[in-house]
Order: sequence, then C-alpha cells, then structure tokens
Amino acid sequence: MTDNPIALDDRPAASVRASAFRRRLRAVAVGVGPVLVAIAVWWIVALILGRARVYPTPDVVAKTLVEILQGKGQLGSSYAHVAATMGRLLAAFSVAIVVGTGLGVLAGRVRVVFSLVENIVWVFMAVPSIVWVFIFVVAMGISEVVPVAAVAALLTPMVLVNVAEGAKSVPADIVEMSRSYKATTWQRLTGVFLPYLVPYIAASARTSFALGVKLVVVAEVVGLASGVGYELNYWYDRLFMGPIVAWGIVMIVIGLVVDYGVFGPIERRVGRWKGRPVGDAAIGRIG
Amino acid sequence: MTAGVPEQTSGGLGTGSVAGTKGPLDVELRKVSLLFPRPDGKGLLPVYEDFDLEVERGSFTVLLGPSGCGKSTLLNIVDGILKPNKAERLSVLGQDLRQNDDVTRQCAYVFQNPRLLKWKTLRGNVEFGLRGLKVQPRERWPELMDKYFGVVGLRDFVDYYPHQVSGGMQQRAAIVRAWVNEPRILLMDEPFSHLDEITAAELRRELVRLWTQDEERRTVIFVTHDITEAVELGQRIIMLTPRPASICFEQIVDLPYPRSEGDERVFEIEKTLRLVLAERAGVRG
Repeated sequence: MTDNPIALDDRPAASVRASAFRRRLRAVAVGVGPVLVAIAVWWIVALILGRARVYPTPDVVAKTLVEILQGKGQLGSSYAHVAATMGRLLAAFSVAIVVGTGLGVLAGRVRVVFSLVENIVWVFMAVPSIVWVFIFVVAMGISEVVPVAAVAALLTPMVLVNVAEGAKSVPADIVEMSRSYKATTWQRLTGVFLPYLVPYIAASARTSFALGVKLVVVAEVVGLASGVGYELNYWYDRLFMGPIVAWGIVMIVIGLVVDYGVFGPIERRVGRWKGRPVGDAAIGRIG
Repeated sequence: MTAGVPEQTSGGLGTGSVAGTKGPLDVELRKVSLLFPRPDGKGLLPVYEDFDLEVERGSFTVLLGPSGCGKSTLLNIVDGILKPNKAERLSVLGQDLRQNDDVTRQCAYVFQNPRLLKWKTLRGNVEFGLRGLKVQPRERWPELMDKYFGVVGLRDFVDYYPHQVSGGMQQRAAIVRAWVNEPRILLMDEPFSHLDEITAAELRRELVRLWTQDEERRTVIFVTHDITEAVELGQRIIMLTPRPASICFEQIVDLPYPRSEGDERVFEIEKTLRLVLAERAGVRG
C-alpha cells in the first residue's frame, strides 16, 4: 500500500468525485434498502395471509397514519391523545430527574445513603412496569396519577444510579478545594456537583425518556381512558391491527424527533466548557 | 523539638528559634499529633508527633522537605480542613481552631495544581473563592478582581474557560483566587512545581512583587521541595524530616528581594541547605 503513494495522488479528480458519489449512494442504499425490502416482504406476506383487518397491508397502515395526522379518529382527536400521553410522560420524567438527581447526589457523596438505597433501587428497577401499574391502580383507583407514578417509580432509580455513579467520581482535589475555600453546602451543590453532573444527568434523561415512552403507553392500556395506550387498547379489543401498527409508527417518530431534536443538541451544548473530548465515563455513556 | 540543629551553619544568620524581634504569632502549633490509617488498613501511621511550629505575622516561611513528609498536611491543619488527633495548642490568628475555625476564612490556599472548576470562567472561579470566604463588602469584588487579575496580567482573559488558557495562566488564576480575598495568611503548596522553569521563575517574581507591595505584609507559608525556590522566596526556611515529620533545621534568609540566583550569599545558603538535606532530611527523624 505504501509502496506507491504517488499513484494514489495522481488519480484524476473526476474519478475521485465519482467514487465519492458512489460511496454516498452505497450509504443511502445500505440505509434505505433494508427498510424497502422489509416493507415489500410485509406486503407480500399480508396479501398471502389475507384478512387485512388482522394482517394489515402497508397501504392500510399508511391510510390510518394519514387519518391520525389529520387528527381524525373514532376516539376523538388523535392530537389530544398524543398530548395526554406526552403530558404524563413529561410529568413522570420531571419527577424522575429531580428526585433521582437529588437522591443520586446524596447517595454518591454519603456512603450510608448509598448502601441504604443500593438494594432498594435494584428492586425498583427489576419490578416489571405492569406490576407497578396494578399496584398503583389498586392504591389510587383509576386516575391520572397512576401512569405518572408508575413510570416515575421506574425511571427515578435509573437516574439515581447514574447520578450517584457520577457524584462518586467528582475529583477529590476539587472537593478539597471547595472545602478549603469554605464553600457552603449550597455553593458546593450548585457550583461543583451539579455542573460536574450535567453530562450524567443529560445522559440519563435521554435513556429515561426513551424508556418512559414505552412505559407510559403500557400504563395507559391498563388504567386510563385517554392517551396513545387507550387507542391501542381500543383497537386491540376490536382486533383491528392497522391502527395499532400506525400508532406504533407515530411513537417511533415522536421518539426519534425528541431524541435528535431535543436531547442531541442538549448533550452537545452541555460540556461545552470541556473544549476537547475527554476520556470521561460520562462521555462514554453518551456515545 | 529542635534536636538536630547543626553545629556549623555557614551563611546562615541564625538557627533555632526566630532571631531578633518577635512579632505577634499568626500560627501557633504545640505538640500536634496526627495519625493516618496505614494503606494496608493495619494500624495507624504517625504523620506528626508532638510537632511544634510558630509563624510570625507578615513573615514568608518556607517548609522544605522531601515529598511525602506531610508538608501539605500541615497546611491543611492550619486551614482547618484537617483536624489533628491531638494538640496542646492549635491557634491561627490567635483563635483556637478547635473552638471556632471561622478564622480560617482568613486563610487562602494555592494548590499544587490549579484546581479550577472547568465549567466556570476564570472570573467565575475567582468569585467562587470570594463567595466561599465571604469577603466583605460584596461591592468591592469587581474592584478586587480587577486589581489582582491585573497584577498577574490576566485582565484580558477573565471570561475564558480554564481549558482555553495555558497551564501557567491557570496557575496564575489560582493565585488570583487566593490573593483576591486579601487574606491574612496565604498557604501555598508547591504552587509552581508543575510548571516549566521559565513560567515558574516568572510566577516567583510575581509572587514576590505581590507580597512586597503591601505595606502590611501578609503571612505566607510556602511548601516546596526545591532548595533554589526556598532560598529565592523565604525569609525563614524550615526543613522537615520524613514521617513522623519534625523540624531538623532552620535557616533565616535575611537578604533583600528580589533575590538573584547569581548572588553569592544566595548560593552559600543553598549549599548549606543541600548539605543538611543530604545528611538529615532523608533519614527518619
């Protein structure tokens, strides 16, 4: 390879450009190709199986998607359902971030607190979301609080573990500096710990959101008369699979948009003071 | 405690206790003992045993000794962030630290590494110190910051983040973070040891200028393992032995500032210290 470096440089520019074009074309083909193939296979299989109600073809799903986008639907405005789901998610997500961060900092800095919450946290994370939903439905009845509480109960320990891990890794010399300069607890929290933890919080916010989207829908299926989960439950009861697939696609798109549009930029913004990429645990997590 | 004072002290103007007039004491430690748990968890390691130290107000005291003999530990004790296991007297600025360590807000620390918060600008970092040490009145902060950033030539860089400036500038900012509080006592722990020699020499000159510009000089306790640096800066050089640390030699340097390395008297004192260091400080006291 290194034998003939001149030959490489001597290649005509046009051919280089052409090969770049070909490479991009190949990249697009690799990205889009499988999707097209999957849709084709889906279509063929659905046609063979017949019964478009149970095995909807892509065009049926597309038609339902258009209806959803138009806000029409047998259960009222589809936008209202999406808004209801996102509102619950946002509430549970906020609780998880605030409580998880607060307890996480404490657990990361105070050994006793860490050993205290360590086991509880794993129990909370191991319990299936549906169990939480049933418990909360029994405890509080069918209400708005149920899905929020259930999702928060699952997301909070996740944030807590991440933040505690981060709080443990705050460099000792920085902590000593803040002690030497007699910084108050509040000053240490806002000036040292929270800024240091921002990448950890941002990373766990991202994963919490992705997980939360799934959980909140499950909670709605069981306990509520609005939201995307309610739609899914309604169509499942009537064995109409078209809308279920369509709503699945809607949730995928929402998830992608929030991830790329909100969390992506946030993660790029935080840690601007880092300047260059650091071989930090926090960064590894994000990547 | 003064065991091990050498018989001949060429070039020195005095040994043992501080010669001449004795001003008020800013730091007074008597029979201070400090134990650290051994790394293997078996038993305790004495870092200090019945250690005595007196530091006069307005003096520049250098603690000289090999690495790991507990010089920084001593600064931490004076700063109140490390409590000794035992002490007959533990007084800073006339106040017993065991009763009330509020007085340590009059101490400011310059560490071996800048230890700046990388998410704060240089100004933000300096403000962190002002806020922590509760420097009053707040209205003076901008003026104080402007003054001390100016002295070290960082006025144009106050809005930069630490990673955007050089290591020397970071250490300058760390010096500003300490001096800006106009503290009574400055604790400096090998602050130039991580810098290249040219930058270090420059910062030493700046430090001398900072210290001599005040009519009422601040008390400086400066830790180093560098003999040249000790003689360039110190009025009084205290040499420590390894653990348990004890004072094995004291040297008063009564030469005017700024001192030059080419000065024969400086050279003579360095030679003495080198001899003593080779003879004693390497051995357990």
